[in-house]
Formats: sequence, C-alpha cells, structure tokens
Amino acid sequence: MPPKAAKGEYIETVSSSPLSTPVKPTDTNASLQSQEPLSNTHQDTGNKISRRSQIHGTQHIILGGKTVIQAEAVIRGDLYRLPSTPASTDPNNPPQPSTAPSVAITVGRYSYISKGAILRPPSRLHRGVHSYYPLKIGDHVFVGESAVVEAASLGNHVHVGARATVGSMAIIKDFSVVLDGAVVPPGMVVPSWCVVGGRPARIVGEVGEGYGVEGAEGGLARERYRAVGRS
Amino acid sequence: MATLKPPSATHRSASGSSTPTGPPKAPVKADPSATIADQVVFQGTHPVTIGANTIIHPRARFYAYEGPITIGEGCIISEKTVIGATPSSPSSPSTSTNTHTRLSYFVTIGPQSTIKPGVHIHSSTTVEALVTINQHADIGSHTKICSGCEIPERGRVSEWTVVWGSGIGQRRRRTREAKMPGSAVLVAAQVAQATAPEPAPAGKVIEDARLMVLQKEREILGRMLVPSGPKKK
Repeated sequence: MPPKAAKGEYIETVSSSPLSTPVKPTDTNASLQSQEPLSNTHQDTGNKISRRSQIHGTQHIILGGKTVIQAEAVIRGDLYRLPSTPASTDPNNPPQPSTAPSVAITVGRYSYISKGAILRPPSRLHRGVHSYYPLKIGDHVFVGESAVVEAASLGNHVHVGARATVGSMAIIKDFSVVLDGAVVPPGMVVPSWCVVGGRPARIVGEVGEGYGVEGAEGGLARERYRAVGRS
Repeated sequence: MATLKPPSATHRSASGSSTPTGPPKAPVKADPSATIADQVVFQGTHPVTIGANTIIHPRARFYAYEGPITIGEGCIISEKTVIGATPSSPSSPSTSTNTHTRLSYFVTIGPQSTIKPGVHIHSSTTVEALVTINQHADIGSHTKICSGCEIPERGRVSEWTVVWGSGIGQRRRRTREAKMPGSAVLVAAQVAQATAPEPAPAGKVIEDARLMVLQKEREILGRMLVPSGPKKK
C-alpha cells in the first residue's frame, strides 16, 4: 500500500481520457480523438477516480462526468454483452470485430461509488444463451461501502447503503433508498420514493417530502463530489 | 509464569518469520481447463489445487497459510472473495485439526465473501455475496447461503438447506417454497417428484435446471475473462 496517497490519490479525467471515452478494442491509442460520437460525456468529465480502484474493461464503461470512484471499488466492465450470435469457434467464421462497442456499465453524473463497492453487470439465461446485460446507474447515485450491485438499473438519486446487496436484474427506480446491509433479492423492482431494508429487502417506508432537492437530504451529490480529493 | 510465556513468544516469532520481505507465493496446481483471471492473488505456503472448468474472477484472493486449499471442478469464485486467512489474523492457532479448505464441485461463491481455513463446502452449493463462513464449518451439498449471512465456527449446515436472514441466519429446507419458482416449474417439480428417488427433495428439478444454467455461465465466462487458459506452471 502506498504510504501516503494525499496528492495523487485521484485521477481527474479530462475530455479525451480513455475512461470516459469508449474505445473500440481494435483501435489504438492514437485514434482516441475519433471516438467523440460515442461519448455522450465528452464536454463534461471531471471524474475523480481513485488510483487504487480496481476497474476492469474500461472500454465498456461510460462515466457521465463528475463521477467519483473510491479506492478498492471493483467495476466489472469486462463482463459486457457479447454479440447476439455467440462467438463460435468455427475457423471459417471468425467472430466479427464487434461493430458497436457494447457498454457494460453506465454511470451518470455526480454518482459516487464508495470504497470497496462492487459493480458487476447482471447476467441471465435468455433463449438458451447466457449473457450479461448492461448495468445502468443514474445521476446523483450513492453506492455505499462494500456494497454489491448487480442490478439492471439504478435510477437517479438512488442511495444504496453500506454492505447492501442488490441482486441480479433488480431495478431500483428514482429517489429510492436501500438501507445499510439490505439484501435486495434478484429481480426485485423497487418503486420510486421507497425505502427498502432487511434480508430479504422489503419496503419499509417512503422517503420524506423534498428528498433529493438540491442541498437537502438526498440532494448532496454535488457537495460530495466537491469534497473528494480536497482533504 | 515461565510456562506461560514461551508458547506465546514462539507463536509470535513464527508468525513474524512467515511474513518475510514479500508474501510467499502459494504453489498453484491448476487444471489446464480452468480459467483464472490475471489479478487473482495466491499467497501462502501450502498448495492450492484448482479443478477443471473452474472460473476464478479477478481480485479473488487465496491465502494458503494454514493448510492446503482445494477447489473442485466447475466452481465459480467471484471477485474479492477471500479463501483462507492471512497469517496476521488471529485464527485458531493450529489446533492440530484438519485445516484443509475444500470446495467440492459446482460450488458458486459470490462476490466479497470470506471462506475461512478448514471450511468444507460440498458440491453444488451456492454462496452469495458478503457471506462469511468461519473456520471448520461444514456446508452440505445443494445448499444456498444467502447474502450477508454468517456461518459460525464449526457450524454444520445440512444438505438442501437455505440459510437466509440476518446474523447467524434462519434455515429451512430447500423445498418448493424455498425458491419460490414460477408455477410452471412448480408443476414440473411435482411431476418429477413422483419419479425421483425419495431422498431427493422436491426442488431437485429446479436444482438440475440451475446447474445447467451454471454450466452456460461458466462457458461464457471462460470466453470473457482473459484467455489465460493454459495458465503458468
């Protein structure tokens, strides 16, 4: 472990960083600039990514800008959706060099991935083919420490508590709160404005009036972002 | 007084000597058909054996300090899972019992789980995320340990059981209700129960289907994870 990570703890991305710009696997680094149409995040980045984060498959991850990724967070961009025809090992039919880069994980603006959290795309068997599906994370989302998120989507302003588990293909809609240590079972759909907790998680309440308003509870994502790396 | 001191001193010196400048790399004996990601950590002095068709996700860690680790065939071990214990951790100080950590075949371990030394997990068991299985626990076959549960030291979980809930966890037989399948599957299970041998619970058909899905998942993962198939020596 580095003795002191005060100065260079975070990589702050600028416009043509590989993390914010999906790169085709066939491209070389020199052609990064030509990828602009793919990047909806081009003008606005400023992601703060810890050097000790453990990100796999960066070319399949889109960060929406102002995203914070803390140390030891694991993001599995390498589990992306393969082309619809399973890559056969047929010698006369080589797997075509993926025309569109499939996106494994999308993270919205001002989202915060805490220390030790794991984001992995969900997978399921569909028509006899087991494949991974994209994990979409909205804006202003907070993922707590050591949480494991395998959801199909997290909406905007979602709060996932520390050591919570969001099961495979679960859908958590906007302004919902997953309490600490909750286990959201696979496939659960959490409606908007709900608080879920327990093992397995069930709806235990609603978030209060004005949740997610800028500066109020649930609307502190910008402050959270600014505080990172300032120390 | 004098009799009390030496053991603690020797123990401390032993643990100190086992961590020299760099952590020792465990001798890994992996089957050529196993897929082991690049960022998997193997540490310790005892051998680690990995069976055929096993998938090990990146950032999994194996600490073979207290005894050998054996992973069976067709297992999936997810990211940030820790199997074994680091020498610094105050685990049971060599109580001369068998600290062989064994995972049988078709075992799935979820992300960020902890398997302590001496644990024996039988076949076709699923361990979900953030689970802790303490020393010398024995997990029966076809069992599911749900997220966030903890199995106590020397705990025994019988086969076809689901462990769920908080803390030590509630348990129940893995029956039809336990997995809450769709009605069509339920009917299939009931039909099959008539033909299935008596010891197999009603969830047998569902379990067989799950194992087939697992097989597909392994095939996909084997392609997706870095093609390091014929792993190093």
